[in-house]
Amino acid sequence: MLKRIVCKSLFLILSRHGQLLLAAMILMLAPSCSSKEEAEKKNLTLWTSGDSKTLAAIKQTCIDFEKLHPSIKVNVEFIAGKSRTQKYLISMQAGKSGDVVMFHWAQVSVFAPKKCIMDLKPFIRRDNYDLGDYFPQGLMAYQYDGGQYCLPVNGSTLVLYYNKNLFDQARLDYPDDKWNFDDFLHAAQKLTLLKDKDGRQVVGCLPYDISSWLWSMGGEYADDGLSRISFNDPRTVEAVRVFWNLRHKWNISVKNLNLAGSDSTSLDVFERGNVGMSVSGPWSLPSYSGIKDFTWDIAPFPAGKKGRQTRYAGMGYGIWAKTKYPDEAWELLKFLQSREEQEKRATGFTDIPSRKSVAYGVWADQKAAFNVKTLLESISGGGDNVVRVFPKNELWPNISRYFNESMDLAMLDQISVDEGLNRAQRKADNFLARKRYVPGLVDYVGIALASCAMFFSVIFLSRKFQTRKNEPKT
Amino acid sequence: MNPKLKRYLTAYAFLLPNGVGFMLFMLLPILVSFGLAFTDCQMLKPNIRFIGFGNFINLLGFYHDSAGWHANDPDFWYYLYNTIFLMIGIPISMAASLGMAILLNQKLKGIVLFRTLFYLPHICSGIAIFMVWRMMYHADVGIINTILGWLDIQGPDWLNSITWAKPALIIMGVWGAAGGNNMIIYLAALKGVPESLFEAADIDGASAWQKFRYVTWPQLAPATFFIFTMSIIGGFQGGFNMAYIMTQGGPSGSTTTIGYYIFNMAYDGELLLGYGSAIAWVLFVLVMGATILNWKCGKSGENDYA
Repeated sequence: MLKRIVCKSLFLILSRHGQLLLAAMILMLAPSCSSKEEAEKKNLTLWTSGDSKTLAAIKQTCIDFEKLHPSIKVNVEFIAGKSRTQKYLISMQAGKSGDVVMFHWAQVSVFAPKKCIMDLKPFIRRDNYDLGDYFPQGLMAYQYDGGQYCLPVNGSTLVLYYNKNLFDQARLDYPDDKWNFDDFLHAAQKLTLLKDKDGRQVVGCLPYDISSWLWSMGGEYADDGLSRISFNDPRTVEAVRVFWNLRHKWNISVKNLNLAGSDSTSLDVFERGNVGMSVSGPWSLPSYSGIKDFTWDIAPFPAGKKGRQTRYAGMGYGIWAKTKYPDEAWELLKFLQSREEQEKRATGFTDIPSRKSVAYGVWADQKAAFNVKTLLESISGGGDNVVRVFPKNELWPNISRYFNESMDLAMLDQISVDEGLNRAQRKADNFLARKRYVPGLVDYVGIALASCAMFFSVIFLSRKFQTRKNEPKT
Repeated sequence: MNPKLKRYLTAYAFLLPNGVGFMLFMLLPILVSFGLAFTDCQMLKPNIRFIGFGNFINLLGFYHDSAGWHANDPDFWYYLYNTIFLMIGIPISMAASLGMAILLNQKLKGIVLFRTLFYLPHICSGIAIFMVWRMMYHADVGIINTILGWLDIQGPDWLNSITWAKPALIIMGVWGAAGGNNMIIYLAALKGVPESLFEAADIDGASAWQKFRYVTWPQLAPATFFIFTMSIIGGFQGGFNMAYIMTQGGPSGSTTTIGYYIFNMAYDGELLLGYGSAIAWVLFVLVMGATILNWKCGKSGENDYA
């Protein structure tokens, strides 16, 4: 028997197919036979995202970093935006993640409480890392419970894009930093009286999402600790009602937008030229830069009762808590965030660099057909300008879901604003008041019985199937 | 070696790869999820606490206050309603599949081409189909509202309307399922109907409808039973792809199904793997109950026709 196996094996090896198989196996194994120097290198993985130009720049940055740190090898992996959270969750749960990871600002309150990303403050203190060059609002967005969990890569907030041709047609003054909500409403109402070149009614404004309007009008969601949910607070109700009125009472916005305020398949988009004003961020600039049919510019978000309070948007780099090389990851992070490297990536206007020296320097010096100063002032904050983020709490995604679902119903005019906010408040309060369940003897006995029932039902069904199979066929 | 033992060992050796795969990727996750359903397991949280039936009480229980009785998790019942509502498409798609199978059972030139064309939607990428239907349902430029406009009918905002979002998904589901595997099963079943029964019916002067009602339909009972059972199982578990790609469960949760709710619980918000597992096991009990009920009613019906 053994002789037969040996003979058969030899035959396989010496046959043509066997030789091909052997060659293929050698080729596949060859790359893993690295040199001793390669084996001693510390491998860091950078998870990042961006357009092709940004990625190319980041890869070059990593090559330059490797030249300065010959004992470190950096592997750059691109993570698509939409599936980022699930990818991070599953990878970190499995114990495998990038060492330096790009996070959306809203993800910090998901990952920081679970100690999945490192607090960078010890590194910052140890190296006396200067945070003074960063926009304070950018740093604030990545803080949680006293810690600094990311360094911002870029950041921005919402501004008002306006169609100059439509403003000229309606004989309106262009928006400026003195504009308040009444000025905005007056202009929007006048713009909706116009018709575009296809005879369709012009849309006064696309308002984007509710948060900036809610805060600017004096409303609040909740505090960071979620000890007080303010959904049905009279000021919040009034603020939400203003947002609702944009669509249903004053008719200056379209009705088929979802609560997030955007519909990528809609015909009513700023680029088409039938929208007077559009609230958005710098991420719209690449698309708007291609507009040839009309001229446009940027103005600050209209100030409400509580001034100008807009939502922050941006990305930052953090370090995975279980990285094998925390110091090396910190060196890479610092290098990526250095002024020189940010300047190399500061091309185009998709987002504002997180360093003031870069934003006001190389980035602002680029040729632009719009008011760059407005963009920079919007993220700088100060005075009545406040850049905000949602409550920093790991339970906030659940609470916000109740708010968004109720507001969807209100915006679709299925229920009133008051009813929607009361409903959201009730659900949020019930959610937070859930008691911690303490199992008793009943639970243990019940689970034991359920497990036995499952086990015996599987045995019973398989025996029944066996019996049926063995029954003579008539 | 004993020849009988050798035969058994050979058989188990062939079954081993599949068996190991089944145990690792099916049985083990099922057992783990059963265990997690009794814990407060949260993604990325290091400590897991045993909480007995806590998840099931939070899911299925009710509490009483001054305003009356309220469900602990009213979302679950709403999403269960959505799931059952979307299963309205099952009898419609079965009828459509049967109709197509009857049409394709004819001896016509080029019938193979028609069978291929009708089966094409089933082999197309699901994501691509959802994207195309999303454009078709567009309120302004979608082809459906454009055609309705020609007939002087104001089409609704399909996917952004709470009233029309579910019917829109049902229509899409029927389109996809009608020409799929159900049609193939019916086609095979139709081929199995003895010609002698049709000849006997012709002799008795039966009309086309009478032949279908009294000859074809009873002969299709086993196929119908199988398709209905599998469709019910699929219906309870389905709806995730449509919700994830087309509507994100909205507007206002009106297209969120139990499957999508499990995903949201486990991978969004609080990342509650324990609670998501509990929902999955409740879904399993529902599917098991529906299947047993279907089995009991279906088998007795089959026997009537046998």
